[in-house]
Amino acid sequence: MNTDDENPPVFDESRSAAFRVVLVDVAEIGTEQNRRFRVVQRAWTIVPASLLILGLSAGTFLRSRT
Amino acid sequence: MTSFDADANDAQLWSDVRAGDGESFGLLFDRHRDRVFRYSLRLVRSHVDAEDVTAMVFLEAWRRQSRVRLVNGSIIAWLLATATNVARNRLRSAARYQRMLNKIPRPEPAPDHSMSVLDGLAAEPAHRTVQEAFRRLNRRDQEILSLCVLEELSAPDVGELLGIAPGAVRARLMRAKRRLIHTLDVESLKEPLGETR
Repeated sequence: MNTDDENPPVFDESRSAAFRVVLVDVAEIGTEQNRRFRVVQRAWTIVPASLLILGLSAGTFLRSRT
Repeated sequence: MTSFDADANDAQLWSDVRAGDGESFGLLFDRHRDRVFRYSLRLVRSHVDAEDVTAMVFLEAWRRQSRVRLVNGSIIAWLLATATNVARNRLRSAARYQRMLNKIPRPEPAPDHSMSVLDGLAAEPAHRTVQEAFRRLNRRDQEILSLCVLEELSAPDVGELLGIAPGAVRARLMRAKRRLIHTLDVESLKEPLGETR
């Protein structure tokens, strides 16, 4: 009844193979891709945390002046 | 550290991924790629977008590895739940992963059989109306309906994934179904106005 069930769409093989190489490279410790990704990952953690601390400090400072 | 065991369960593979084993991540991708892709295809309009969403879901898994939850030893439920979020925020996610996505070759513009199948299905008024109504729901409703109804995960599994009690899953599912029915009612009222032929 439903052709979608008989012949389900799949991830294109050539795109999938290319992306698999990227994923393995990202996850494999010691590769350039892994190193870069870890740096960016750290930035995603540190920058928002720093902004939060700055915001809280500014809020505390302003409240202490009023 | 390196198992290269295609029969290893998700928990073993994920543990290897966290220890820095790339091939284990490749094996997880091979195992769950198509299911995540088909799930994503319900949330976005094109085959290529669904492939990009699938790619971003796996990158999100690596980026947020400390937050990944395995349910019954499998990572699939977390991947599907993440696909809902990535699909909704895909422009922002695509900007984050642009450099990685650029490494995936863009497909040649050619007739796409699977899209013609989907287009055929979407052309059926009932299917199209349900699809449109589903897309109008908020992220939480889409997530709960996708996981419980479309992917047929149990309430305890979904509860474990989302960090809520099974009873809360059932209640949220009931509300989501109610809103879907309401949206369908609104859509069906619009239908005659849209059909001028």
